Amino acid sequence: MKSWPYLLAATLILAGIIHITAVLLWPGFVMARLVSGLETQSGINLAVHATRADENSRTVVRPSPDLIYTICAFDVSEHPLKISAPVPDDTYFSLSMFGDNTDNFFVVNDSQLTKNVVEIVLVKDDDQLTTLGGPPMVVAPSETGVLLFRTLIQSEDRFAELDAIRKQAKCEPVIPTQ
Amino acid sequence: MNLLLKLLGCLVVAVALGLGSAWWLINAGLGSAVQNGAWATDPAIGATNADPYTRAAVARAGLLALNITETAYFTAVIDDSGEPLSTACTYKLTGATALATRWWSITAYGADHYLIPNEAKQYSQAMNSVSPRTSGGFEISVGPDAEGADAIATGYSGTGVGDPFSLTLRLYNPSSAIYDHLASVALPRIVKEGCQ
Repeated sequence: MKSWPYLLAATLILAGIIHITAVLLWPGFVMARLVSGLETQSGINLAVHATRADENSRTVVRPSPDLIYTICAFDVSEHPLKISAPVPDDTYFSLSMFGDNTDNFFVVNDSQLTKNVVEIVLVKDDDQLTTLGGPPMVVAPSETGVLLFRTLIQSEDRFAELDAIRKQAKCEPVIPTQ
Repeated sequence: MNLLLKLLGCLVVAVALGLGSAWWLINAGLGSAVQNGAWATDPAIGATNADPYTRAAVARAGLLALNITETAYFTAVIDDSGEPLSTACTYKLTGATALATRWWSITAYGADHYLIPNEAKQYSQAMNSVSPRTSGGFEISVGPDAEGADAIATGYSGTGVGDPFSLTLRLYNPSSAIYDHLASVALPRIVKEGCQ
């Protein structure tokens, strides 16, 4: 009996399974590598103020040199995360959040904010929503991920001012007092 | 023994086929669900209902990209005549009228998806940097010798055949006139002027 038709079918089926598995796992692998890299570089749940993008920048893929980025790798498995930042005047500013599968699950920009500061608490599930008060809360679809502050360098004259403002952005775990 | 070798061969071919085809699709760029001239986009970029292939493409070529409610990303790897963009060539980008968005920028990237090294550090042009025209439009020169105002440099050294590169058009807080008509809204034309 010829075995090659069975071997060919098995090869194609296995190739299909490997293909699908690779496509499904790739986003999580890339995000985990980013979170791990930021954790090694500066720590988890801490705001990192990236230098202005140039040809050596590797934190953000396809970075925009017209923006300055502050990035924070989060892990809300143990504690919620309080996120705060002043909002600069007369330029584009946004806070965006990304789950461990790359999904942009939350974004807010300066034109949607009523105050000159953004304050949000990121929690891991609905249970924590009832235990905290204060700033608006966002439920993270995954325990780990990344959040990103974008500030547009509206003009080179304003770079120093905007850079100083965005460096006041903070990510800090909300640890209950005993 | 013969069967064992055949099974091993099948396994090697299956891994090569599976991983190779996955990488080929992942590496194909940031989505081409919608084509508008030389520009392509995918409204599912960054969306929580994105399909696995879009998520994988975002992880490769647009990690931390915003969803379309915040920003529309158009990418061009070809010019208006369908030729691949090359760092050895000079292109004229022409926007006939103002883009209906709060802010826009156009940035050049190398094949590795990062900014292209160039002496002038002239990686992009944006709404707040280009010279305004009475029509509201703009004109940008992209190429090896591009420098100064209204220019994006591609870093070509003058040797070899040039490298492929891509352009990303970012439209922050686009109006509904844009995100409701991604395939037909007027976007900058990309016309090749010559090559070194």
